[in-house]
Amino acid sequence: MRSISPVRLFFKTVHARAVPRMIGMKREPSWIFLEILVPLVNTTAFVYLYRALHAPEAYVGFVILGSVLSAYWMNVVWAMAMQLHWEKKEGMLQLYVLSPSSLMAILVGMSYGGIVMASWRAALTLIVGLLLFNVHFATDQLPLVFLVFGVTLIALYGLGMTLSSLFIRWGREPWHLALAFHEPAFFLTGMNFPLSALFASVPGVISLISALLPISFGLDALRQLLLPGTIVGVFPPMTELWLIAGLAVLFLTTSYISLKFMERQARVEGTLALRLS
Amino acid sequence: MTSLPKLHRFNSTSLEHEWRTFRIAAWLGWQVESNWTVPIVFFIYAILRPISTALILLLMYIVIAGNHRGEYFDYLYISNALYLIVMQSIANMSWTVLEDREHYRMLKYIYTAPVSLFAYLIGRAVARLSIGISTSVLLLTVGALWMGLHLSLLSVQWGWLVTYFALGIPVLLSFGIVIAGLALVITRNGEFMGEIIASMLLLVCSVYFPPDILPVILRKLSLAMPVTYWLEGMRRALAGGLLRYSAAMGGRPISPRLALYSNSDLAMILACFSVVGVTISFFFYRWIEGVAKARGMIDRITGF
Amino acid sequence: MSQSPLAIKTDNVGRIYKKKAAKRVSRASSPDSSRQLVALDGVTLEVEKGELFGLLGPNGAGKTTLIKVLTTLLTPSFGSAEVLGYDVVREPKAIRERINMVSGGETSGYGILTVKENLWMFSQFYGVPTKEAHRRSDELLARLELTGMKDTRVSGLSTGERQRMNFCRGFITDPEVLFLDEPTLGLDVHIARVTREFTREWMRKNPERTVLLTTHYMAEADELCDRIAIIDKGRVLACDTPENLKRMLQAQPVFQIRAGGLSESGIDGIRSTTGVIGLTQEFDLETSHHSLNLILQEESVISDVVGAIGAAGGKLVGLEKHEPTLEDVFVKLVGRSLKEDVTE
Ligand SMILES: Nc1ncnc2c1ncn2[C@@H]1O[C@H](COP(=O)(O)OP(=O)(O)OP(=O)(O)O)[C@@H](O)[C@H]1O
Ligand SMILES: [Mg+2]
Repeated sequence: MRSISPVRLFFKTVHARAVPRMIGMKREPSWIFLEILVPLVNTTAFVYLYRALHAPEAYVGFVILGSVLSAYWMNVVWAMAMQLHWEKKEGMLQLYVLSPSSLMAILVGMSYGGIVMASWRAALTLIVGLLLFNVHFATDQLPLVFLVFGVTLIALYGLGMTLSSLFIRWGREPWHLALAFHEPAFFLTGMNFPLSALFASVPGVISLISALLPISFGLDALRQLLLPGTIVGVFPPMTELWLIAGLAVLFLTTSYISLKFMERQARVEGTLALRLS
Repeated sequence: MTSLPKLHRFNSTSLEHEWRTFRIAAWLGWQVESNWTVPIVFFIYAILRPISTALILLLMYIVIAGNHRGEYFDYLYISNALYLIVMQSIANMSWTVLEDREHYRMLKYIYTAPVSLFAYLIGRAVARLSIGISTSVLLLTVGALWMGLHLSLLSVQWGWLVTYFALGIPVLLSFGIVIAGLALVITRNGEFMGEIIASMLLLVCSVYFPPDILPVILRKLSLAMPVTYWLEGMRRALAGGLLRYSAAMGGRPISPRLALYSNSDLAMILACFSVVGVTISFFFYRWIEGVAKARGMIDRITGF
Repeated sequence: MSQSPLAIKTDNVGRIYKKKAAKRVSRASSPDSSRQLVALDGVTLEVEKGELFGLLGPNGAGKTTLIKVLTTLLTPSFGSAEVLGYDVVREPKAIRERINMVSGGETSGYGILTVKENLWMFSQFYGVPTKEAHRRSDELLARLELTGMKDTRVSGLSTGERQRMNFCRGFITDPEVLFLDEPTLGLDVHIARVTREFTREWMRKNPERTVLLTTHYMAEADELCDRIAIIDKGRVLACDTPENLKRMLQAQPVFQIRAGGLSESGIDGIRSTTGVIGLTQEFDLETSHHSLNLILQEESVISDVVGAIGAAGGKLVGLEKHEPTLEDVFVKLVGRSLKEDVTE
């Protein structure tokens, strides 16, 4: 009978689901235009705002780093939501559930393609920052920088998959909500200003929500490591790394549980293949 | 057996027909925008994003300028509130086309039905425009009440406000039509078109900062954009006059370049842009619709 | 497994949908029971391995619902169902490894990928080795006459071509039980025949494989299926081989009558003649004759029918007795034909 191990099946599925995204990038290169233009323009707008306010030059660096991470954030929440909404509507989701592969593998495959896309965007933002705005980053702690970055991504995509389970069960509502939380999330994660400024000026509950978003501490730690001396961090970078690692474990667990739960729930309610909700 | 109503229908002019299409489209636009949820959730949804942007700007302002709100804050806050109207009527028009084409599979039916797609799109745009205007008003109110925005009903120059507003709407709508036309011929990534355009406008329409601090090329571009003048006029009308940096920072106008224009200059400029914009958008749209038809894009569905 | 389990076994399985009330449209008069829809009402079936089993029923009969339950996409509201000895609720994973499904009229695949890439992608979710997947997809595409299209993007395929790709997707994982839900929907006559022949051939080559098929085409069911279950309103009305089903009508003669000058009310009059079990009609526009298909209690009733035609002002043009078809069985059980356009 079928003699493939679950682990191999998982990776085969991840690969297979990532391929359409890669091929898509190659065949419809218009995305490059988008990936260059949007971050460049968005970042520039905020940079000029700080300049118009006569802010210290370090703030330009803050904005650039914020944009780099926002590329991934956008990818997790916005692109994944859009994609799942579409897959469900087209009846693809039901074919995925039908297969022996886990939904988690499908989502990881999808995110992998997304990470590649977002990385292009992030890299271009960095280049723009370095070349056009003369940002100088400290490079003495690079290994730690990469570690923080990696763990932040894992936590972020864990959160993304947890959210995806909502899209699997419900139709248009979560998709709208994902859109609705676009700017609030930018605010809560301090994409454009130091996180400590946020924590100092909002009630504790909001700080707590902010702390639950992996980008918040990830970004704060990266800013402290790459632009030392220019920013007051909420915690030292190492502490923040541990906090993000905790979030990574938390969200990977919740995504596993909620995907299973939502799939079962959708089977009971008969909403796996709901068209045009 | 006199069938007067029927006769009346047969006699209806094409203008009446367009008007009906327009009304239906505005209604449909509202349905599509709002009917996925109960009104209260829709309200929160519509206001959550703009409020958050305002909060981001507020915090950016505070980390640099501290807790005193100078006129620059008014500049920033008012522009941001008005920019919502720009976003809704321009950037989101591409969404309308894509949503109808890919999500609802409706476009081809609208297209084959005896209604004009042009009137339909304008109708949808008006629905979006009214959402933009109401959130904008709400945002200004919130700003005046809680965020330290200097805005009082007594100091608003109502006459100019109405003038600029009326002159700006045709410009915004014709812009929106051009974008919708482009969305017709775009396949993948079309959903990001709104994002691209929104960010471009943010940069070159002096929303967050005056055109003066931009590099030369961008500054020229900014001064060629009607929205720049519209925002400047609306800002002056709402704030009750030209906005200036604080005395500590020299007290000069925030945009010396735009300060060169008097209120009536701005109105003249906007009037010209309206006429040109409406003409261009009409012909551009007719041309691009032909392209879309030739390429079979009306019922195209993509996705990967 | 010691004794080979059945391919499919359901025991009084049922499914109730909760209908969402339409927003805004307030129907004060709607009773509470209309909120629930019994799509599947206690179905008991047993399908042996190696069988090609057909489900026949009008729209909304519950065929797709049954398939969704068996393919673990939907949990039953009551009763139990097993596929290859595994319970659909408790062991979905074991089932999913061994089955596949093709349903007509569904987009399956990404527009940006080519036909071949799409098939490869789906095969990977089942762990098929890449080489093997390519070999199978080449073979399947050749059989379905899609070889020329294998490097075309799916976004550029016609409805029927897409459906053919979809059909290949079902076979590429070499499932032990394959569910085909109206697989010939949207296919032209020639390709529809090709898919039928292919299905038959595939089953001959792999005698352990099982296919559950739903269709609206009587001839397809008759030609293809080893056994057929006729279902309506979520219930199984009969389940047997096509021959045995037809034999059910052996005692009840089937007549074909052609008559002119009949009105709707006249036909209703004939329908209500005692001894008439089933009546279906077709109208020939050219000759303006009605062609009536009648299932009768016994042969002698025919004289009453002829009398009724005369009484209704009709003129008898032709009369012949014929062997019962599956169609006749269906009409007798369901009360109407699949061919006939039912005005409701
Ligand atoms: N998700 C759902 N929610 C509510 N009711 C549903 C749902 N899916 C199907 N139904 C209802 O259940 C009944 C059976 O549907 P089903 O799709 O099983 O019919 P079918 O036999 O496949 O019909 P067809 O020949 O048209 O494909 C129908 O009355 C249908 O309206
Ligand atoms: Mg069906």
